[in-house]
Amino acid sequence: MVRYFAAARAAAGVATEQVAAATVEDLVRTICEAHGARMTSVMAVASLLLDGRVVHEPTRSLLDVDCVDVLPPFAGG
Amino acid sequence: MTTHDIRVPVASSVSFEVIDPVRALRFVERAAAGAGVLFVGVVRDHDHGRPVTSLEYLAHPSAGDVLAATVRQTLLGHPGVLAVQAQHRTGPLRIGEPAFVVAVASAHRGAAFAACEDIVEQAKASVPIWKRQVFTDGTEEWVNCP
Repeated sequence: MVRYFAAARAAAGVATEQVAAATVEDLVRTICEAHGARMTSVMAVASLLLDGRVVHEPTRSLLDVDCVDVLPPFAGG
Repeated sequence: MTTHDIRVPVASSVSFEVIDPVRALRFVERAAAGAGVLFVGVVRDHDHGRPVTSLEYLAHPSAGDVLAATVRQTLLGHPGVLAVQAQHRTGPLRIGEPAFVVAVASAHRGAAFAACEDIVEQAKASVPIWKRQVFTDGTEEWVNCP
């Protein structure tokens, strides 16, 4: 399951959805293609959590992952 | 003797509850503290020169834990600190309301000022919280995001 937050949720139009993808880069490409230009610009600056852990490797497999969080840049304070 | 240890009292929260800055300062009062520093981040009525009418903060479910860990991690660089309270509010806020409050006590003011600023900056960079603001012309934005 993919969970979208803040601007990512606004761009997706949904809070969560199921996305079939084998790797992180597959997932990002699929999400961008599904949701268009605004989501593509958000994904370019967003970070991803795989089951709560920050991921840096685009080739990381999603086989063992239950939940991916899409986090736009933080703006607290 | 050093107070550089994990027993420094730290209270932190990310919640919908209204923040009382005076209570935060009271929380860090200690007999050994010669200085209490209070940062109050407040909702302002403008951003990038445009008038803001309303604003909301949204937090990831992990935000409370991340804030607590960020304060602890930051304190490793500030051994003189005696107590800390850090609170971030979520949900819709009005102009003038406190959104982010950090109170720090230490024996001397220099350590308290430095630790308070460092905690504020580290928290802004690390804690997964987002801000949506609505301008008077009806447009809105998620701050820091295209």
